[in-house]
Amino acid sequence: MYRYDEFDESMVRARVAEFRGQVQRRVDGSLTEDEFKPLRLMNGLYLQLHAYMLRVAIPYGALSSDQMRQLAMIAERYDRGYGHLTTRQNIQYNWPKLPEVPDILDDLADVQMHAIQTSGNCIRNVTSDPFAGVAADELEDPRPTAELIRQWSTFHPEFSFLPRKFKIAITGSPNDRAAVYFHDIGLRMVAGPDDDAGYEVIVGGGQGRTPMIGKVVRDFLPREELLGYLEAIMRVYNLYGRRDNKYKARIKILVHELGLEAFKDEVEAEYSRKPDADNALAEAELQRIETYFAPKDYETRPDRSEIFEVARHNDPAFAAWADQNLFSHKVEGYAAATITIKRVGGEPGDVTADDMRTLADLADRFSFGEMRVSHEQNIVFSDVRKDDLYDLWKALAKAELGDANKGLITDIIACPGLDYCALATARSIPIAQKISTAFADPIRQRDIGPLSIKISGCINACGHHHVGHIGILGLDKAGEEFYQITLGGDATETAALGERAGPGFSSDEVAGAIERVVDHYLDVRDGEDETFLETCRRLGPDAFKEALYAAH
Amino acid sequence: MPLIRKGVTVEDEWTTLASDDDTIFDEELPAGDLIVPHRRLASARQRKHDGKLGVAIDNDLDIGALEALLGTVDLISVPFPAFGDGRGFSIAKSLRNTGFTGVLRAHGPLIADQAAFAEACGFDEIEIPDDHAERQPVDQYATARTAFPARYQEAYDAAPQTVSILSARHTARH
Ligand code: SF4
Repeated sequence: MYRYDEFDESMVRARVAEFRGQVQRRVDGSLTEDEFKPLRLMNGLYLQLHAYMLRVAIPYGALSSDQMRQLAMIAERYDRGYGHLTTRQNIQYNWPKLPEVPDILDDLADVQMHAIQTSGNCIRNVTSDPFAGVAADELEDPRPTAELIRQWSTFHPEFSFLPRKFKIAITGSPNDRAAVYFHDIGLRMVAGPDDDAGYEVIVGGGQGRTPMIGKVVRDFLPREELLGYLEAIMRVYNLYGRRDNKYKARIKILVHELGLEAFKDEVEAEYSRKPDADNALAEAELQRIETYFAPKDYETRPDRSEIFEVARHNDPAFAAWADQNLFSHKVEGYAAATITIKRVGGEPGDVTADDMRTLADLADRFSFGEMRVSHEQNIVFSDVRKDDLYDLWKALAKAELGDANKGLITDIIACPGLDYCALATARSIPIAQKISTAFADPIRQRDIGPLSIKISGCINACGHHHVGHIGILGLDKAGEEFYQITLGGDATETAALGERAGPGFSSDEVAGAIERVVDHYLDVRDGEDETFLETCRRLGPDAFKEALYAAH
Repeated sequence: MPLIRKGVTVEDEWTTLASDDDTIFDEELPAGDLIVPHRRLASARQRKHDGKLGVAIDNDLDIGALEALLGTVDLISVPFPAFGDGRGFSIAKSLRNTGFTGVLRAHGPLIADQAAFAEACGFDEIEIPDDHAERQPVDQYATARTAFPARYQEAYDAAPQTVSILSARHTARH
């Protein structure tokens, strides 16, 4: 994975010193609370319902075991012994104290981590495919580009006070696991007309209260032109994006109001105006970064592992996990494994300090000391020898981290909701807990097959409910929480927004309503291979309404 | 309104004419370097005037309107209605990209931590409101502008950080 050189190191250290000074200037009154706010936000520090929350960046989800151990230490020393994996591959601490935050940032810097630009109206942490670099279906490794964008966007002189936050995602595989159609800018690595490397550039996707699927502004951008072109998009947005209404300030609204063609023209005109001097250096930089992502020291092994096959045959619990949680690796004899952080009845994405240390130790033993955080709030071990999978799983199962539910109905994504978030209109975590308890039976889960439930505690949609196969949005009606259900959302290359099914449900009714939808799906699916999403597409979401409101 | 250049307060040698100042319609403009409102620029340019001419623009000009300023003035004052409104940074950068070589002034309640950004985008000076300066003494701007040893962005190589990290790395390897 990427390692800081002396420049990166000095920039992160300077940032900690700067923030220490800013806290001091807030205390001595030089800075008003209004002035301090964007500064703390750009260091990941939010004011939540009960306390500050610190969001630590995990650039494109990549984490070493030493970094994970440090996160565990921070959880214990400064917080309540746990952290929360987010839908943007970051980790949040819910209980830090303001005066201690500069110390936390120092401790993070000790392991080459930071909380830079994890919040605020700036370019946020770049996200990517959790299987980047190892996925068998990948065209090219997106991580070097993601790192280049991380550096380029860090403390950007021109783009640190944008109309609104700005999120970029990149995928190197035609099978989109980074939700590139739902970001301010989405990049798909594609081959050009002469088989040269480059990107398809998608702009103006997003969720929130006005969900939109991103639109292609460039079919093919040669890779050496990336930074110049991104700069042109950002400048058009910074000049013309709305600042009069924060709900209309995202780039998706600008693209929508200008119209795609006019927006494209503005960007291309700005791009042609710009001298392209920096593109040459960006290419050299990309090549430097790529050396950090050279293939690991893989052993040459047969693709079929006898140890794995025997264990799989003899241990049905392991077989279930292997069927559900493994992902094909580029290299023969290896696999990528997803460790779901979705214990039945638990809080999606919550990891205790003990979990973190277990994961770190296991990553050292089984996956070159590295792991990734996925936007589904899970952990991925990207490089496990197939011979080792059974040992890995046994160790995970011992730590209650061996659930075979990746992509299944209990692999729920939920935002923090009313339990933590000051903007929430309803709770989301207890809803996730109820649903996962209702569907706890692993055999039933497997029978249902791939089904993603995503829950947000308000229309800001941090729980990505618009793109859940089943989406749940928590609202407030006359002081009572109620939940709207959407069906048929899809975050991948076949992107779709879920459609609202009808009136909402109370918090006690939601789990039952979901059970009725699922039972109906099991009745009407066209054989066991037709997934919930496929059935939903074939019949239309309306076909589920009767079941949904049957006993209602 | 204190004027800050590279972290130190300097004397403002320009006189800013207010929007409703009718001096512009006199036969001859007052002597000295003048900053006139954008909507009065055309008429000001037709008057006799002993001194340099600058313009105070609004912050909603598009790139075409910015280009049209080229060759007409020696100073452009770009407003920041609020410190969180970063549009002025792109206006400055656009003006520099189109080849404007005169003085670029940021006008508004920019905080100290934005000083280096402003310079990198092409601003020469920052004019801040009096009450703002009372809370945030100028030495805070001096400290903040050199808080970072370098920057990642190529082509944003104005002082105080003269070399981008990308080009420093590149030089080290060749
Ligand atoms: S969706 Fe709403 S409740 Fe949930 S985290 Fe976002 S802002 Fe908070």
